[in-house]
Amino acid sequence: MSFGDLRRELIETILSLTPAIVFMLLAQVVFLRLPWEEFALVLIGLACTVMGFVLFIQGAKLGLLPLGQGIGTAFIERRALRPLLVFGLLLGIVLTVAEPDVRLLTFQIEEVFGDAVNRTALITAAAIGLGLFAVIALLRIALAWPIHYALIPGYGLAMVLALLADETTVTQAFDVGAVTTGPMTVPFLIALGVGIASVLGRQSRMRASFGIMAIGSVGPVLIVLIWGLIRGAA
Amino acid sequence: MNVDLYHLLVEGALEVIEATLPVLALIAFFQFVVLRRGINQPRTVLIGVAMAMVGFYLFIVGAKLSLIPMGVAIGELLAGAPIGAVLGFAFVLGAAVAFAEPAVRILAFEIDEVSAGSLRKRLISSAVALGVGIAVAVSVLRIVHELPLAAVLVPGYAIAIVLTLLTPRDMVPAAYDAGAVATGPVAVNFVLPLTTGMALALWGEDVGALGFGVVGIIALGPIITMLALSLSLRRRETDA
Repeated sequence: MSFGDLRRELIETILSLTPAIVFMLLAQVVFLRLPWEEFALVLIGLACTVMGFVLFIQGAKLGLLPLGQGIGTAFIERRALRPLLVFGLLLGIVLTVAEPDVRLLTFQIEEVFGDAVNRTALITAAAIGLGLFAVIALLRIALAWPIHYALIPGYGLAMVLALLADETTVTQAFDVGAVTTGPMTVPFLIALGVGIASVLGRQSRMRASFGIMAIGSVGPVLIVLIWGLIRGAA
Repeated sequence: MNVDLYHLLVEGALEVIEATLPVLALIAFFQFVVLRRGINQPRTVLIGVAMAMVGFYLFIVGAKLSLIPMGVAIGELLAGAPIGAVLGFAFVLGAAVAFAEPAVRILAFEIDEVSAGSLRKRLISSAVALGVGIAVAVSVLRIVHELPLAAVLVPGYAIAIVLTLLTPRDMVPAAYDAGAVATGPVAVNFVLPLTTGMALALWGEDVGALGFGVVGIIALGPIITMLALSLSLRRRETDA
C-alpha cells in the first residue's frame, strides 16, 4: 500500500457517497433545517464514515488479504482440494460475520423489530449460507460446470420458499443475501477462485472470477428462508 | 433525531470485537496450526489489522450518526410528497448511487475487457444504473400499495431465469455479479433507511416489514437489465 492507494480509495469513497451527500444537504437546507449542533454531528459522522471505510479497506488489503491468499495458495500448490474447500467454507462464514454492511443492515432490522428478531441468529444463518455456497462456487470453477447449474435451481428454490415463508423472513433473506457479498468476502473469494482456475488452466483468470459473487449471494437467501420456515413451524 | 452517543460508541466497540475476532482466529489457526509457518512482515500485518479495526469502528459509528438517521428523515419527508415526484426521485437516486459506486465501474471495466470491447463500459454502467433506478422506484410502489416482497421478486426472478436461458452463456455470470455489486454501502445505509422511514411515516407502527426488501430488489434490477442488454446485442449481431 502506498499513499497513492490511500488517496485513490479516499476519492472513490467520497465519489460513491456523492449522491447521498447531495440529497442530505438539499434536504437539510430546504426542508429539515435541523439545529446547527445536530447537523454538525451528522457532518462529523459523515467524515467518520468516509475515513472509516478507507482505513477498513486499506487495512484489510494490507493485513488480511495477503494472509488469506497465502493460505489458499499453499493448498492450491499442493493440489489439496479438500482442505481448500474446508478453508473456503470457514472463511466464507467468518468473513460474512465481519462484513460491515451485514452488521449495519441487521442493526436497522433490530431497530424496527426489536426483540422480535434474533440478530445473532440471522447473521449466523447468512454466514453459513455464504460459506456453503462459496464452496459450490469454488467447486464450479474446479469442475468447470456452467453457472446455470447453480443459479437456476438456487433461485428457483428461493422463489418457492419465498411464497411459503412469512413476509418478515422473506425481506430479511433477500436483503441480507444481497449484502453478504461486500468488500470483505468478495476479494477473498475471487482470489481463491482465480487461484484454482490458474492452477487447473481450464478457464481464463477473468472468466473464473465472474459468478462467484452471484452464486455466493444465493446461499444466504436460501438458508435464512429455511431457518425462518423451521422457526415458523416450531 | 435523538442519538444516544455514549451507547453508540460502546456498542460500536463491542461490534468490532465480535466481527473481527472470528476472522483473526481462523487465519491464525490455518497459518500456525495447519500450515505451521510464521508470518512474513509481521509488522505490516499488525498495522493492517489495526487499521481495519479502527476503520470498521469509525465506519459503523459514522453511518449510525449520519447516513442512517438522515436517510430516515428524508424518507419521512417523501411520505408527504406527491407519488409521481417520489417515484421520479427514487429512480434518480437509485441510478445516481449505481453510477457513483466504484464496484460497478470496476465490473464494467472487467466485462468490457472480457467481451473484447463488444460491451462498452458506458453501456454496462448505464444498464446497471437503469436497473437500480427502476428497483428503487418499484420498492416505493411496493410500500405505497402494501405489496408483499414476493409479489415483486417471484415474477422478477422468473423473468431473470427465462432471460438466463436465452442469453449467451459467457455473459450470464457477469450479469448476476452486476446485481451483487450494486448493493454496496450506500444502498444499505442510505437507500434502505429512506424506504423504512417512508414506510413508517405512511403506515405507522403496524408497518411490519414493508420498508425492508429494497436491497433485495436492487440486487435483482441490474441482473434483468444486464441480461436484456446482452440478449439484444446478440440479436443484433445475428441479424447483421
